[in-house]
Amino acid sequence: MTFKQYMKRAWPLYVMIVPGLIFVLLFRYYPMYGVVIAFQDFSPAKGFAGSPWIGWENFEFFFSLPEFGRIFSNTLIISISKIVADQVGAVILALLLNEARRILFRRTIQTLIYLPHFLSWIVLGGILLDILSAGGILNQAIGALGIKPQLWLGSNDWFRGTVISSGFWKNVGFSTIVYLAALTAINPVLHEAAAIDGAGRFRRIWHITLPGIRPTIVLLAALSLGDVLQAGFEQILTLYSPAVYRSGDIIDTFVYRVGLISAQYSLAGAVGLFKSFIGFGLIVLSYWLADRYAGYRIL
Amino acid sequence: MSKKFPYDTADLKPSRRDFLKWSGAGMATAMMARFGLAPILAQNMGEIPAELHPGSPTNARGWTTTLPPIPEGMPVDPPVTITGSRRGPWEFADGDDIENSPFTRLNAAVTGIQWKLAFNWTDNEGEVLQKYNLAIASDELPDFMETVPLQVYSELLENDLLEDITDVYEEVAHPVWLKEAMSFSDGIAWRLAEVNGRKMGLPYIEQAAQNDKVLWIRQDWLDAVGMSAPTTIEELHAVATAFKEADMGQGGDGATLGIAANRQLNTWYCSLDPIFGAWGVMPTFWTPDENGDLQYDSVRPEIKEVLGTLRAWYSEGLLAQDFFTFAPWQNAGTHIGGNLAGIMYSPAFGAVYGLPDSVANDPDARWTFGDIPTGPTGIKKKAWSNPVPDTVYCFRKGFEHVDLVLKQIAWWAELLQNPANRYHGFEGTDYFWRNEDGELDPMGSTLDLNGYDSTKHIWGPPGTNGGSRTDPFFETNWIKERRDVWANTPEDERDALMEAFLGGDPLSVLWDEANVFAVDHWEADGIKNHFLTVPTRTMERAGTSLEGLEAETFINIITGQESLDRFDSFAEEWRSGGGDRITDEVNEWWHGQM
Amino acid sequence: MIRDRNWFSRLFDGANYIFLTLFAVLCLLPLIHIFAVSLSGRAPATAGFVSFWPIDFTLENYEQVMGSRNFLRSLAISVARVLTGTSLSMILVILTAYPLSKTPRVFRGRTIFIWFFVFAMLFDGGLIPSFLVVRSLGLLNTLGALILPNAVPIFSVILMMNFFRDVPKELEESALIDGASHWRVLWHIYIPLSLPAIATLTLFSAVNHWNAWFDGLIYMTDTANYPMQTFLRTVIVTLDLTQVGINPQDLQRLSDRAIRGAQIIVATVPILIVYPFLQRYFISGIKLGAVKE
Repeated sequence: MTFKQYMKRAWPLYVMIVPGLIFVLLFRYYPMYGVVIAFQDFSPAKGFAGSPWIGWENFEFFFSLPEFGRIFSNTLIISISKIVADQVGAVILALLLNEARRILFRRTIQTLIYLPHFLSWIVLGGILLDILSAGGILNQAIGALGIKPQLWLGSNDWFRGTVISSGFWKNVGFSTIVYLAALTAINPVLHEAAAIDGAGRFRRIWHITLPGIRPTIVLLAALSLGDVLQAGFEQILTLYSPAVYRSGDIIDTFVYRVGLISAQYSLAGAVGLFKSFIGFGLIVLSYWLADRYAGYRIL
Repeated sequence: MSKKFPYDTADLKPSRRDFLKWSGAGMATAMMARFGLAPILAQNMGEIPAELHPGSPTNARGWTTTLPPIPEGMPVDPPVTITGSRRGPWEFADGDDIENSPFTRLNAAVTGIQWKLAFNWTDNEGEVLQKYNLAIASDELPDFMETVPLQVYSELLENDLLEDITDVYEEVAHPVWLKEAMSFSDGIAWRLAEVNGRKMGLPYIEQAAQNDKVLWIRQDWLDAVGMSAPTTIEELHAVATAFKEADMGQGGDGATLGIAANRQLNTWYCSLDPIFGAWGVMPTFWTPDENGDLQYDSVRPEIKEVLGTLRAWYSEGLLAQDFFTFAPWQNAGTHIGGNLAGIMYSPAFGAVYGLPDSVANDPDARWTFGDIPTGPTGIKKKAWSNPVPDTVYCFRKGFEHVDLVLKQIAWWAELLQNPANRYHGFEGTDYFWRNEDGELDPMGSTLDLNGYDSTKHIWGPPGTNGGSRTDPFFETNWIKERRDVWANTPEDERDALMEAFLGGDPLSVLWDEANVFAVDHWEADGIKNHFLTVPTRTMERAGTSLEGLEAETFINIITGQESLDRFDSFAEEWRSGGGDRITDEVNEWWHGQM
Repeated sequence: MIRDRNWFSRLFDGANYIFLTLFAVLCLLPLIHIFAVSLSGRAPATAGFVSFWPIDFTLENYEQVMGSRNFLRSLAISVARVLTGTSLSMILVILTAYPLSKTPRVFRGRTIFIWFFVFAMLFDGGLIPSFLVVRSLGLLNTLGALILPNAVPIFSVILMMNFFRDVPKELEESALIDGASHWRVLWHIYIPLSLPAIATLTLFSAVNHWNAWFDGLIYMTDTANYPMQTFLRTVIVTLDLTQVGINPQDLQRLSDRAIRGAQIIVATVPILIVYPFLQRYFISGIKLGAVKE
């Protein structure tokens, strides 16, 4: 096939992608010169061209912080727990919803479980501070059951768990939606054929439904690795206090506090760049692993 | 104020008799005398069209605002347009907006200045910083910049982007409304705006003693346990314990707290700063030691004693089990509004923040305020609230009309800050006349002062901004005017405004009294933070770690998770972790100042 | 429809219904709480007395919220933003995802293009350069500033691309052999067969536009142009008095949980309506199997 023959057929594909390319070039790539502030002592008045260059100093400062180990591991622990809980929970919920046969019931439940997603952390944080306080509704409820009240927000034993479970509760319903969409693509005929062959309900879930949404699961898991250093800035900022810095202080909240003392554009830029590299690296790695061991391309 | 706890909501039936009584109590009126109260004759009033005039002269029960004389050479012709940045947004009446409101119309008629909005911001945390930095980065600074944050201010100074207004100021600035009004507290007003003897902007000035604490306490609970108001920390402890043991609060069994506190030990509401002050120290403050050097109070040994005291209180259940997760605004709701605590250290405005909910939820609640109790060695101190926050009003380099802005400031300052002029805003903008059914009524019988803030629609220079004046005693002077002059006006001669205020609810009256009280004790009882400049190099680098260490350690000691002796190792860690270097840098600045 | 009638399967159904109901109730409770607060009097609401039933029932909070011009204006801006922004995004997502869903043989250069997009998803140049671009295009204080910079949600493009890959190749191949162009294939085969995915991504886009607040704060130099979430943040965000110029009246307003509750309800309900409307496309997807035969 000559190039001319190829283009005769394929030209619409290039026309289609042009608008997307232009937007991304203009609004994402063009401003990327801004990453240079990670290597500068940036001053808005001097601008990107005029600010002094300081090499790796911002990175060195960040990595040599006495808290670096603590905030880095807190970030990873919280974020990985959240990713796992969210993905597993969303798949299970989607399967359970898929098994509920009454359409009206299913629709109602779907609508309700995605409600928390619409409350921002600022709003939700204020409510959680009340609900989870020592005399709050949660402690009253478990107290009525004879369980000892806990300081959900004030104790280093509980804080991470509180962050992870409230994050799960807020997002899982919404994450379910993608899997529900993926489930609709599974051919019902496969189920019927399997049923005729005598496959029970759980065998069918295991052998038909799950493989049917496997590409989506792998894709979402891989993409969520890109956010592995985002443990939920707004959520933790509204919920934490100095007493739980040990278990709950993450990279973003720490950098935020540094910025409160003096505007640290360059430090924030360096940390952002670091997080992007880790995220991009993990996505590339998972792409390669999926291709190598599962035999398909997620991207 | 020699007597303690003179005011109490039960006494505050705001009748004329009470006001006469208070006004006869010999309150200092020196500050008012400073500006003189004789209404200035409005020789130029004819030049201002009647429809632009503030006040309610056409209402049967209205009042007349006296406009100061129009400054020399004004209104300028042709009119001048000046761009400015400001805080917002406010709500405006039909068709009005931030550039065209009763204020801007009157201002244009008086001065010939038309203000144009460059950008504005809301109270959102950090928003003001973003907007200024974006304006700098895009090289579009407004002519006049309202409340420039410290970080931006030093950036502008370093890059020579600000107009030096020293000479114009000397020549044009009003001798009373600017020069004299801003000379309080050894000239602290100019601590940021003046650099190397040159004025690089105008100070932002808040009300004196705005955040200075008084002790708020439930009088009805005191009566119930048969105790009187505490005058020492020991008595405070006894009263708090009695409240807790008698379980006076509205919550479930045993939910009553001794004293309301939150995650910040030295803060603006439900603070514990007067307890530290009772030992003569103030966490996070830099104070002079016996050698005249600045020392960081958080590592002084007295702190350990206070932490030990609070630790004991916490273990006795006087502080909420989870007080250290609370934000100040949560105290206002849950602890005060919910009537769980009957004692708090809060500013005068505590009367109208938290207490209204408390009284609404428990009609028997009677709050009173008084002086802060003294410590074991008789010390009585609290955090001195600086009326000059870390912010400055600036002019763009090359801006040619600084003189006009200074003249506008003086005119408005005189209009607003001289109570005798009786400027109280614009009808339909910040107050309304209403009839008995609550409907708007041009000849109405009652005045609705909801959200009353005589200056919130005004923009431009200091003295005309919602939170700022040129005189930190403006609010206090105004309270005294009401108490000493309005209350002495025979009832049948009072206009609607006087009546609306004199008939105000007891808590507002309590607020006024607490305000005057706090101002009277402002200089004598305050511990001042003497470090008043941009963060030092090491603060930028190590400050966050040190602050975190301090906050974490103090809370852990109070809650018993770490031993009291942990304080000693903390102080050591603080010093070696950068604290010593910060102390050197701070003192370098400090001695360079003198 | 398959019927599983054994006892274990029935037991599972019962447990499943109970579990899902409980979880749904758990998700609904906070909203009921906020709703009850929004219908309560100021004092009990602020003191935290209200749990799931209003105390001192009043509609005054809603009257106040709906009476605020600033709030209503920001609401109108948000609605306009969702409508225009979501339409634009979905057109771009579909157009971009279609070529990317092809193999490199059908769409040469695909590998470069896909990494071009993935890289842009992870890296960005920060606030100031983005602001300068939007400013130089004259978009400050316009709706354009809210919808154009993120007009191509790359995450959605990748999801859409994966859903497009599920479309049976046989349909496409026979159409192409019949002489249909890629335009026709996209319009007549891919889009009808991907409605559940399109509905999902439309929802994502609408919700993102509705919830976005930071771009409003940066690109609107005049607060009068703030979209609702940006405006709402200014009302809800917790303040401390270290900021200048905050007076007690403002504080009082800010800690009034009843008003805040009413604002949250008014701000949340419109976007909730979108989902039930889009839901029917999830069901129609079930017919997909028949088409695939």
